[in-house]
Amino acid sequence: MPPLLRTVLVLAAAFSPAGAEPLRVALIAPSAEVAVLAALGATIEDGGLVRISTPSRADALLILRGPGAAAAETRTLLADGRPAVVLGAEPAAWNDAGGFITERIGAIRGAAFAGGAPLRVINLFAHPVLTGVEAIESDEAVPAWTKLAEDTQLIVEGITGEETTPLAWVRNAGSGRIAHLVPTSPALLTSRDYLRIVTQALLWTARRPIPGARPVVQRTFMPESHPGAFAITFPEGVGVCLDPVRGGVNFAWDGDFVDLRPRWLTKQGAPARIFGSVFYSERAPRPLRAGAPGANSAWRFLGHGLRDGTPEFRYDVDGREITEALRALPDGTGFTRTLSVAAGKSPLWLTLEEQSNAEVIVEGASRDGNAVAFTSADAGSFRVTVRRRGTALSP
Amino acid sequence: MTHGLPSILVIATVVALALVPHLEAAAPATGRVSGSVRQAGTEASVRFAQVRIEGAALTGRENNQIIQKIGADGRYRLDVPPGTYELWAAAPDHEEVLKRVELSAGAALQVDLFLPPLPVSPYRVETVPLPRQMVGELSGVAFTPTGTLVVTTRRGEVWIRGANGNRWRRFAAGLYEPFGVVAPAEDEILVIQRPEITRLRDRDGDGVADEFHTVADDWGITGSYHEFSYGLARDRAGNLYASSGLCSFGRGVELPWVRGPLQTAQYLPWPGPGAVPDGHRSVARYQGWAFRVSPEGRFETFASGFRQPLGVGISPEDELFISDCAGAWVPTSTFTHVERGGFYGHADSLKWHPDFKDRRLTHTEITALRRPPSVYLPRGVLGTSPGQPTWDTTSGRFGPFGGQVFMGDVSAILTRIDLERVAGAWQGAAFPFLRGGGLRLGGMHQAFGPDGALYLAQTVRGWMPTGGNEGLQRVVWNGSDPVEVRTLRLSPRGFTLGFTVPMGATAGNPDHYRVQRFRYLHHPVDGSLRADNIEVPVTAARLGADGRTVELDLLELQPGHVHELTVDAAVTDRAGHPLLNRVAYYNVNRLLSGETQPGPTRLAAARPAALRPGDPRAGAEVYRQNCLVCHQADGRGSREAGTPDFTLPGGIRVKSDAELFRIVAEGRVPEPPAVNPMPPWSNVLTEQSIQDVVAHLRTTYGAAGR
Repeated sequence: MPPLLRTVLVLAAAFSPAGAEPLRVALIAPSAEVAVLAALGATIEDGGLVRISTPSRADALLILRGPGAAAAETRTLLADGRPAVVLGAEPAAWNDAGGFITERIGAIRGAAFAGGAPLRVINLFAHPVLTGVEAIESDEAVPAWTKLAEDTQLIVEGITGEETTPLAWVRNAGSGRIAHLVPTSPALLTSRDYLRIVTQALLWTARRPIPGARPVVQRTFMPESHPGAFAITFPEGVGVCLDPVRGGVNFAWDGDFVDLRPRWLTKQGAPARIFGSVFYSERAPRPLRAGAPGANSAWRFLGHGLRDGTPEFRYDVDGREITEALRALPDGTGFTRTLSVAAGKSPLWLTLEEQSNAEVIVEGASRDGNAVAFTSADAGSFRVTVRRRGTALSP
Repeated sequence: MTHGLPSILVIATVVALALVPHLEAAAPATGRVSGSVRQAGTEASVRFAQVRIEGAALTGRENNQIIQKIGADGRYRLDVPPGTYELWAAAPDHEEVLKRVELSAGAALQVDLFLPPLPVSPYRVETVPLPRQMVGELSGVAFTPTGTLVVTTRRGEVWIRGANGNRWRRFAAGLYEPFGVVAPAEDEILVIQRPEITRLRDRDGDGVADEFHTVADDWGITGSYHEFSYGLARDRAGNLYASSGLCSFGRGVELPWVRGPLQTAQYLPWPGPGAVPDGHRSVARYQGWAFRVSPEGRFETFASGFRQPLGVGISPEDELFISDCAGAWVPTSTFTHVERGGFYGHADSLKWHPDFKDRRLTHTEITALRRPPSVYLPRGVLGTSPGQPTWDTTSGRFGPFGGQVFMGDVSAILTRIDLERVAGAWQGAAFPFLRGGGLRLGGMHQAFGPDGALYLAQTVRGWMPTGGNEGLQRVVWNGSDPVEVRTLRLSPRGFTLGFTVPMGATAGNPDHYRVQRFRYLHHPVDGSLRADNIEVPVTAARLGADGRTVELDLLELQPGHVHELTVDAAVTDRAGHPLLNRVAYYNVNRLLSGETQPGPTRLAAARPAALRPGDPRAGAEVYRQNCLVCHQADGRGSREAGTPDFTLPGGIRVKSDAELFRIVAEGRVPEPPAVNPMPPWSNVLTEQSIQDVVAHLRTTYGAAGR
């Protein structure tokens, strides 16, 4: 067995956990490209994703360039929200006088980027679709896609000289998700990292878990936060902004990605951009205090880390050390805060705030309205669960 | 690598004795001089060469000159009236050549001109390849004791390259604008990010940091785009040193999320009419301060009075030095030995000073409180925004400058500093070390590697075009001696120069040394012009028996002044090689006696001479020293620097000499397609030098209407 195929099989097996329905993928390409896509599709079929021939029964579509003769049917499926991953979209392969694919992908295809010069930098951002991918290597000339729609999440960017160009992006296009990868050189199409991106993009668009995807912690300039706040994005589809100066979770949103480019690409800078709606927020300073809810407790941020992939944040509240672990709820409808408290000044108070879009459950500490007290002076822990309203609370 | 500074003039007289006389009855009114321009030694063609002929017989032409560009055939031909001329040839990266020509009517003279290549520096600049997925905005560089290379990027990453290979790995991501790194051990990497100093560890051994311990975060931050935390340096006891720059507040930024208290009013309100000339203010706690953090994590403020103290370094003797950038209260960029409790000039940081925050010190009191910099870095010649100081501890592997300081700059300049203790305080001289030659912009952090090379981390994003200007370069010495003034030290009557190699007899001629002294003004204006600029006659030059030292006696030596030393191009080593750099700036804060106050001067009666007409030859030298980096040797400008093409129609050709003088002196906002502002040069160049450089531009690129 060729090493690459073996790699893909091992990889694909990982995407097919026991008991889970395999993802059914239909491959679509113009007739001239069918063989190319079939080779790529074979590796998927050998693994956990099932290749089926009827697009209308597929969980996700994998489209190289465009559907060619099957344009009408494919457009209908996409318009109805069928998840899709498009590789190197060619508007001509969509029989698309109305600009359907431009609207669906959320960008306009232009001439060769940087006059066809190779990309000096290929920069991967922190997105679940890129889990485990170290690098993309390609010297191909790529078309420049411009005018990205507001809701596109750019996840791979190319740089040559002063110019940057989008190389891969994902979006929630109405009811269905779509991903677009611009580079499609023959060498890339058989590379392990590229196949991994394709497979993970299929899973992401179909809202399936991506094996091995981990939470991402990025310190940046977040909206409605002190500079240096943390953006913690979970692959389950929830984002949390933790502000170490205010001392709590400033807000949480439906999303697994934060765009830091507003800060990077201009001199003046701007806060990072989140995608999705905010369902939880707090404003009052220092929600954690020792002794009494309004005590003037000394506060110090001690640092953060990842323990077995779980983000942890450490604080000192009036001499009492707290380690807070953040986890997403498995269904992505919220998150938990597990606060492990060292022995010290008691009680430790956590002040909550009224939420109209989230329910807040406290376990392991007493609660009176928005005042939560951890009354033991010994070491212990308590947990706060935040769940977006409108979703059922699991038992 | 070639060097752009020195110029040796090869002067020869060619007497035109009508070698090929025209014998026609009616002798023409002109003679002809023609020939080829080639590289000396190789006779290879020289790109962008031009010849210039100048003489009184050309009265009526701009500057009595005709300039001709040399085409691909390498030949020139000039028809001029009879007379005596100077014929020049010049080209980038080559010495200029000058010949004296006497030409009679009807004569045809062949003069071939051979341009010697500029002295080749034994230092070459190499670009270090970076991983393709790294955006090369390198903001910090360090080596571990075992030689592992560690860099930070402004996008928040830490990358590591092992000592024994070229493989890079990403050690950390998601940091907030790291701006410096120290790596005292393989498993201990310390980074200063905008909000804190952080210790990074890899607990589970997978090669990626998973613990980010907050070592210190006791200073204020506002979220303004222009508000940086600088550093990082570590002494042998494990203390960390860092600093916080002022916040750019000129346009009244909204700052609703400030860490710590906010004070937007200036400590000393701007006294002048109109807008505050420099919007940098200490609006959050300890902006404009240097800090120290003990190995146990105890934070303490260390010194105040900084503007943008982006170079933080620790000497081999564990003393703190900081470079600061020119602006209000910082007359030109500085390099300063920083002592605990010291105040170094910028008034606004006093808002947070326990002794002065509630006492409104006056301008005079603030100036009296200020400790002077060890070295001034004149704007332009020695850059604009100096970076991290790094001591040469390579035991000779970087050449003959062991113990001296090297410092990058936002502009493509590497400065060398020679310090000495005078009456108990550090002061000394700054030299240009490397310019051009492939050295990129933005080299603000650096470190010596285990190979003895100097590695420069470069980032310019937000200030200059980034394309090709960022990343990692190293400066490598090829083992041959550079011809340089190695040391410039104060003596009882002047200065003692120490050379890297034995010098020829011309080094013993006092006429080959020119010293000017001046002061900089400590005031809230954005930068300072040279004040009290005056030439100090060199009365004697004594060359040591080994040729490696020259003692210069000055007519008088006054403390409190910068002394600019310019060595004539005639000073060469014993083999005739010129100096690679011929200018140095010694900041005489105090004399050997300890005297810091200037006494009565014998030079006071001297008056600055009236301005002479511009001398294009002198202007060419001024251009090479000050303008070439951005405007290029061929005057075509550079996309990277955003400078215009002088050779195009319009542009400088349609501007009067007075307009050009004003632009050079005062600077100006960019005129498309240029994108960067032209900085004002009147605080660097004398009026005569500006007059000269305008004449050079005019003669080289043409006058209005041409």
